[in-house]
Amino acid sequence: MKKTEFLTGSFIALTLVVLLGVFFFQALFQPSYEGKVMPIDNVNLKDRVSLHYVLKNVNDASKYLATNGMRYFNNRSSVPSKTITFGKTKNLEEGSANEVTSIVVNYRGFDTLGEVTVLFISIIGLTMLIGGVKEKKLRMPSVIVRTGSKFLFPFILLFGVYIFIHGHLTPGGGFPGGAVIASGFLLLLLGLENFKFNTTVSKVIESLAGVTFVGIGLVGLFMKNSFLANFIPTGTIGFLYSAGMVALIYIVVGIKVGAELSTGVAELKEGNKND
Amino acid sequence: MNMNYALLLIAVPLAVAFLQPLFGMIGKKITKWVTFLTFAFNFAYAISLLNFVTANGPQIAVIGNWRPPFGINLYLSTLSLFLATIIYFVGMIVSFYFIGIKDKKIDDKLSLVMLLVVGAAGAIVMTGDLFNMFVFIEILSIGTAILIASRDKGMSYKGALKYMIFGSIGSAMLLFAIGFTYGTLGTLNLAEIALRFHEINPTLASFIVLLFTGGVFVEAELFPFNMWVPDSYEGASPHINAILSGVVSTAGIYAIMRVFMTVFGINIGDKILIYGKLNFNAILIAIGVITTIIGELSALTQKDIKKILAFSSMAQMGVIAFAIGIGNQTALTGGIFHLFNHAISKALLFLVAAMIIRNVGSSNIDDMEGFGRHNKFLAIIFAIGAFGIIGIPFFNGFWSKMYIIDGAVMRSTPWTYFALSFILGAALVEVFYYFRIIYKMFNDKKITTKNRIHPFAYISVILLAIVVLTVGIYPSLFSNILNSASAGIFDRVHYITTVLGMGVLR
Repeated sequence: MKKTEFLTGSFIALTLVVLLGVFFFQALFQPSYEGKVMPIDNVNLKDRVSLHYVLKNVNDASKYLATNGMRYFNNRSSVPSKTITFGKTKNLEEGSANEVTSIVVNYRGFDTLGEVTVLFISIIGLTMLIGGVKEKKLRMPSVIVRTGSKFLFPFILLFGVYIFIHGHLTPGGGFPGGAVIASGFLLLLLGLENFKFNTTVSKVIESLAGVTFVGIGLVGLFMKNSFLANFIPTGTIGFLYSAGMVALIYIVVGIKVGAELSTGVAELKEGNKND
Repeated sequence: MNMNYALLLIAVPLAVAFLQPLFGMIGKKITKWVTFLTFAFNFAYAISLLNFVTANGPQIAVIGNWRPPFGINLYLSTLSLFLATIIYFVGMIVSFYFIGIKDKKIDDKLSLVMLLVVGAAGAIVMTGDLFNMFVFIEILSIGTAILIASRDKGMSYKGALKYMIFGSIGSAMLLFAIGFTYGTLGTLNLAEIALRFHEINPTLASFIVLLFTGGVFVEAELFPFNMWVPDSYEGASPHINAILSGVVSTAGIYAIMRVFMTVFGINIGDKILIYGKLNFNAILIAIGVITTIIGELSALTQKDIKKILAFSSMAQMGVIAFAIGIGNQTALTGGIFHLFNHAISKALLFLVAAMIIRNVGSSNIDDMEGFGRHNKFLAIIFAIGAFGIIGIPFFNGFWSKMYIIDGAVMRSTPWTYFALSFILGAALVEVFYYFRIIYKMFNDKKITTKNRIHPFAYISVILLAIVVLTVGIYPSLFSNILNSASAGIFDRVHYITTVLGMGVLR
């Protein structure tokens, strides 16, 4: 790159940054006026769509919006809501006790399908571009690592599976659970000298899990007339067998993410054997 | 017709992409065929939906049975489905061309990424949710970087890295814009934002608009976020470039149109102005003019055919941004029409360029001297595409540029005339460098050619050339669709009531 080109580029970038900075500070320190909304000095957490996700009264809110119109936006919390008791309330519109899961997988489940795809395409790109680099001779792992990794592996696997199976009850879910499983395989790859990870099997598992996710959505489309609609009874909140398809989707996501990250780690270490 | 089934347009490419590794184990050719068939299905289905929507007005598709603004919805208007049809059509043609290329090591993964990029672009033009748009823009930009890098030469890695940097900065800015929007209005639904955007403090509104600019200008190849264009286009394979300019920039321009006009805009008289303290319409006109001038002048200085076409593509995006900045319906109709023409003609030009490069063995236009004498057919097809982009009368670009000029004259302020004069001057430059290539091709000179060209490549460029000629001779073919599409951007109240229900204005 020529020096003049570089200077022009820097100048443009600097101008943009200064422009944005001026606007940002103006917005920060300007008092709200004429009743216009400012995020900084007047944060009202009840004035968000997520209020209904927490109270699990989205269907009521839809009805309220249809009858009251513009008045709804001025006062979201006037939508009627029921008290929900952990372990007792049955057949809610959305049955997972973990609020984050209910938003991520159910209310905005389509975004999660997108995020799963983002991870999928990133791993594809990573293995396609960097995979197959020649393996460097690593130092032989010590006895403690060798024994310890063999000993710990089943427990790590179990922990990962626990995280994604309980995704609708406790913090965590498909993505962290899958990452934990992949870390178990990473430990084996680093700790054991002659451990061979079968990428073909993991790719098959990953593909099938991904298709199952879309398939669950399609079953919703054919049974309940809407993509990713819940078609399984939600059960009692707080129980393991509850939350309908949310639990199912998180299991699928966990398996997919685990297989995907393990494939990525293994291919980075050993190179892409299939090609 | 049940509109919720429109989700198949997004779900099918995703499901097939997840299955592609399994197909790849059987054979690389199969993955290419599967990609092509998926696009063909999407194209056919999108056309049937487009007919329905043009006849019956915009519809929404609800996801997960959560009504908007609480859940995610798709907004299926004439504009969305028209652009989706273009995107799937270009994807179909390019994947058909891709079948004819000799199999390389990574082609199974490449057809997978192609499927996801085109599928994500289709999702961007249909979604009715800001964060959902962000997720698909993410897929689009990661996938595009992979496609650029896939040629496995030093230049392509450089281009991909540049695109990655711009793309990730743009995504980060877009995320901030979404954060501020959610922080103030408490919603991510485009219709609800459109209903209540004027409640935001004007300074903050301009800030959000500026941040949003960063996110979508990268994909739309607009100044100052288009520095990646020359390197990435030069590095990538030519048929990938057809996807870059036909699919990726189409999705980017749609995001600008929909979000800046329908969501951030306010109706004033016969035009839409973007709400906020800054006069963003004037900025958009200025950006359009600057992009056009930079693009055309840089194309003039280049010898590499891929770079020439890349800069030309950038310049056309500038013309469309100018049309959006003008902000009245005639100009917008022209902008949408020009988007269509650009996608088809540029895909045609890049595919022909790919065949010529393959035949001649070099992408320098000096080495192509005399190619027209050797292979008249391909040179004529190239000329058709070039005439379409330039806007020679009775080719498609003529009519869309006419619309844009008409709209700019209707606005009739001194500044628009001034800007228009620059756009027209830049168009003259465009005439010069395209004719220089055509002249060189028909020069009398013996030429030796290397590789044979697969018949599939011929079929795909002939299909595109037929579209270019048909639209050029019968421009009224789409006038119904185009008018309905630009009216859809203008009728903001209709957008809001379609998504949120009639009761919302009470």
